[in-house]
Amino acid sequence: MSVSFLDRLGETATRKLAARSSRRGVLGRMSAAMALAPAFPLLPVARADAASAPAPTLSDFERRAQSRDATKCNYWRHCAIDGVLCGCCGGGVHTCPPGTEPSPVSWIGTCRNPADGRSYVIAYRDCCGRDICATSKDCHCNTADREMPIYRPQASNDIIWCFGTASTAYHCSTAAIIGQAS
Amino acid sequence: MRFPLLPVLGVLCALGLSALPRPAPASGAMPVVPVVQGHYLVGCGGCHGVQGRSGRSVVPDLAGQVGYFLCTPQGRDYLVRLPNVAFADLSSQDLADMVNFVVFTLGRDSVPAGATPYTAAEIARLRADPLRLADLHGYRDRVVRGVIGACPRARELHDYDTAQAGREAGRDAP
Repeated sequence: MSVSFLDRLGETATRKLAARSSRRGVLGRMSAAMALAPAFPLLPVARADAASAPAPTLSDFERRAQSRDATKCNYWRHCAIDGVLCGCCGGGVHTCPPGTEPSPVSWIGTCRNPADGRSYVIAYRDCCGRDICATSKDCHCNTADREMPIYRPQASNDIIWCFGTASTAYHCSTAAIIGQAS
Repeated sequence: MRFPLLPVLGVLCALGLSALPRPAPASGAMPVVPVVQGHYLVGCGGCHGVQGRSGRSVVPDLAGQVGYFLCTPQGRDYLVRLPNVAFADLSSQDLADMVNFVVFTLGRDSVPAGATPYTAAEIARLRADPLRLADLHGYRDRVVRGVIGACPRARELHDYDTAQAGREAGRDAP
């Protein structure tokens, strides 16, 4: 019976492997690999992956928020505003229009800026002293991230904050940044 | 739908109880609001002011004033038994930290010498006995009289009570 080329090749390779290695050495290396395998998930790569943790759940508003146009209801600072945007009425995102004065009190919200992924404390301050601003309906906003019912008035935007001002007439609302939330 | 604030303030603005970062410009480095200060801002700072100054006559100022309440045991208890404080959505430890921030940081020099910070146990005891008074303004007025008796320099606390009495007289007038 003739010996095929493949048989000779297999025999040669097996003999060379047997000549260069010991069964004890193979068993030792396999045992070491099995013993060390459970340690690998604890190495820095795995820990870094765990530290990145699940991403915070975003609200509907936060998913649609933008950071370019402050005269739109979906501007990020407007996550909890109820009223007319002063930016549509001759004022700005944190300035009152001429002929009105800011309320000395406000209500406080926390909004996420999609540009940097950070949250900021926002003071929603009403501008008072003129009738409600007549402008596009697109500037009439009512968002409610982290808002509470009126029985927790300090966290409700269903309140007109025009008191402590010369006039209690509501005109529009601003959204000033107080600082970055920690 | 929005409502005028004053009718709602029967409870809120009677409270004797806003950090120190001022409203920041739209750009540049933003101050980071510490957690305890964030609790104050979200729970109290809207009415009492970011800096603890609210104009005094409609809502009591805190800056440089709130510490006077620690001149008497009744005044010390009053600050925590106020409904919006007692019912705050915070643990007693977090509430103690916040009240201590309000009293000792915002209150500054108004805190009498030797006054000690509130502990979580003290807060837990006091908030379990919130004020249940229809006439909260009247009660505050009596507390303030006691405080002024113990600390005469606290007399500016009465500015709010005087203004409130004037508003009520105006409302009751025919």
